[in-house]
Amino acid sequence: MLIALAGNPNTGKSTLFNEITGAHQHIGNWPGVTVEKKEGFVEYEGKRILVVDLPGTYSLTAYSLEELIARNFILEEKPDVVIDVIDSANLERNLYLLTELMELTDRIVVALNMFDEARKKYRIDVKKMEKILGIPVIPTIAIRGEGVKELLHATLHGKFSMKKPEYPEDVEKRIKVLEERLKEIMEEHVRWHAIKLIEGDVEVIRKLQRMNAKSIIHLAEHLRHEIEDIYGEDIETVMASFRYSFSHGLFHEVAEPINVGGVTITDMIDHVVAHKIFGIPIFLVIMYLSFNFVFEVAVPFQDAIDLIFNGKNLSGGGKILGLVDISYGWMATFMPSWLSSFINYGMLRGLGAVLTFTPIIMLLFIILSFLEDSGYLARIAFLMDRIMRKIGMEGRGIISLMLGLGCNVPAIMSTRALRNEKERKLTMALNPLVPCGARIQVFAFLTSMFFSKNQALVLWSLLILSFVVIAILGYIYSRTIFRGEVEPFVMELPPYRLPTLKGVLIHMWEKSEGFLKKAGTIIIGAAGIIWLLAALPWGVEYGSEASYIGQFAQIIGPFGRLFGLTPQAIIALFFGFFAKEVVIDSFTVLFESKAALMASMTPLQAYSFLLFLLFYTPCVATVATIYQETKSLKFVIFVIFEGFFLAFLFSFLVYNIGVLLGVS
Amino acid sequence: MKRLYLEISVIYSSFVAALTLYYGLAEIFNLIAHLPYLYLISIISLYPILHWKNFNYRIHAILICILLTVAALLLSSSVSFDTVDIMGGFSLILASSLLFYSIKDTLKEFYSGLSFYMVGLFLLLIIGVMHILILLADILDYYILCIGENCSAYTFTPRPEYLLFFLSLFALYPFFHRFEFRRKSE
Repeated sequence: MLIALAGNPNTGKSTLFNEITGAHQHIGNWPGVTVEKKEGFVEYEGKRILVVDLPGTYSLTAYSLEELIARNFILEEKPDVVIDVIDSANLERNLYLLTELMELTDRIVVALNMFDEARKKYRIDVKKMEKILGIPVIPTIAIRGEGVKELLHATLHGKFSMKKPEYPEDVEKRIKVLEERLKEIMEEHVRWHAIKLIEGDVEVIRKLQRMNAKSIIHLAEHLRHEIEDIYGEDIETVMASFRYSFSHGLFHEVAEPINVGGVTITDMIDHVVAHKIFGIPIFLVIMYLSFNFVFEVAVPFQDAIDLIFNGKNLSGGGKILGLVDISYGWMATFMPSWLSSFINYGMLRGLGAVLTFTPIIMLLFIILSFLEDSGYLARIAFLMDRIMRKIGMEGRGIISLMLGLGCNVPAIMSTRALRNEKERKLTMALNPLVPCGARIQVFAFLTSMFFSKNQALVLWSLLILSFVVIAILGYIYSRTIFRGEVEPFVMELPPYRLPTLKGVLIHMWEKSEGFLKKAGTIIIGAAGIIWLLAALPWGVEYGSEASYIGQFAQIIGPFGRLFGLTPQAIIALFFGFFAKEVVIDSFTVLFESKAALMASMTPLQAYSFLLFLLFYTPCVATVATIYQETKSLKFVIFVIFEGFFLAFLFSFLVYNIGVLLGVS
Repeated sequence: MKRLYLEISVIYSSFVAALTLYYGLAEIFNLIAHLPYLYLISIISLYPILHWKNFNYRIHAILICILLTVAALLLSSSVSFDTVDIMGGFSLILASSLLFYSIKDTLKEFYSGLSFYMVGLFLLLIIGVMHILILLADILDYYILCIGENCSAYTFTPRPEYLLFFLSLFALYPFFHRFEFRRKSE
């Protein structure tokens, strides 16, 4: 059996080596270089174990001879176990090398050396660290020989189920692309090679040149530039920063400082934003400010788009014609007026209505990207993790829930990161209750009309309600149908930084692109269908009771009264199943003007409608994704039922209590 | 030097905290008509000087405090509160709580107090930036809605957040110079 001892310089590695091997050691040089090589053996439980002391390094780049020797030994000699000797008195700094080793091999035992020194600085939760990393962690005091037997025991009998550190999605998906290509030419350490290629590691590039894999090198170069463009920094800084985020996060998970020295700005901000009293209020205020900013700043852009599409009536008489009117007039000269009306007042006006909300979506994603890139989003997850664990959920689930604020589809897909199946299903069951960007658009549309003075407050109340419901349901589900242990994990805590404009804009575009594509396809199509249903059968007045849509509204009307929902509102909800943005289209098609829509509902009815929209069934794309991820029709039905149950419950309660109290 | 910096920051934060608390309450309850509340700011701002025995730079502190209070009184007279803004008020009250908490901690645990001081000011900065951008959007919207109409020039309505923004900017300046904003690679 072969064991390699790795670690930073001055971690007591050589002392540990001496303790393990005793007199059975040989000192020489590594082949071809003058770097000292120490190897020795030990007999343990009848097995002869060869131990090699690797040179002390801070990382595994290709910059120094020591680093190259250490990593090449692990790559080429394939030791059965690598013992990472960590100076636990400087735990966070030493964890950086561990993250690099974890990329290189699965079989690592962590020796928390100088544990006595560490006790003076912080309390380390060794069991938690083991659970988080999925590898044995043994406290040692090499100088006194303490923990050496336990270390050897763990080396032979330890459980190795390592949870590898992951990079952010932007980087991770590019690593995956490269991995796929590398699999064509190599079988071992594929991920490590992919990471190093993206980092531009000269040794790995040379190796691939020798293998005549120029196209892969070019691809890596291209991917590297993409990452650099997104983050606005050179690749080494970007990758090192993520590794530091991991080690910083791990350190905060397992160590509770008693005495802190060398405080950075990041530490100082974390001290407050992760504070047990102030953390949550700060989070709530930041979210409120963000929404307030989004809705207020979007207004001029929305008005400009509205002006372009619909024109406006001037106060002194006369009208500025919009694109819809101009296009209708032009098309009517060479096509039947019903067709021109269908194209312009059905589809083009529908597109205009949806595009009016593009500024909101873009600004929302700018804010979310800003929070993410600045490092605060990770703190929110960290902060909420502590609370959510109490109700049976883990932090990665929270990240997935937060992604739901953008779109539920990728949020559902992101639950793949959860290792525990029950945890995954629990998160998937709760995810559709998070209001997605499309629903937020509808909220913005209606609150701007019915609650113009308290728009942000109303939206904020809906968000808070959704998270409270998620917390309560999470508590109930995790103790009943999705019962299981919450797995500990490392929540990466990147250092705070000022995001680059380019990075924020790229992230915003990546997230908004889907919405714009949807606006150009599904939503225009849906607007056309709604227009047809309101115009057919031929000869009836548009949107009247005699139209198909009017007939449908009459049938379901009495039922909606229980919840204060008007027939048009129910129709809008019905079409909202295809895509939530279509709700806006429905209202635009069903009501000729904003004034008509505002006259159709009281603010109480509007709030009841918003509550229904907040919870009822997720859109068809989300339903399909849930089925795809679970392959369980029963689960899909459960999620839809859960949504409808909550929607009926809250709408009924709020509307009827409001009526009883005389609120209208 | 550190001690002087510390004590000035304590005085400054107590002043900004009191002013922010007052504005926060005013946004919720429309207190601006009651001028006596403004005098409260001066008294609350003096709290650290009156309370702590180990202050060595009382003269500096008192001077700063008086100057800032006079400046605030002058500037406050032009600030208006036309609507009730519950969440806006809550945001300011939270920022003031952070600053008050910093006063409590600064002399005991330097970095803890300084952290609260810095984050409180950051929060005011963010609130201020957001309101300035909202103001710009409002101006832009006004002129978009004026297209084809005969409109008068835009009338600017000052809000307390603008004043607090400049106060926090002034106080945060040393942080950008004294500390590295990025984590050092170890």
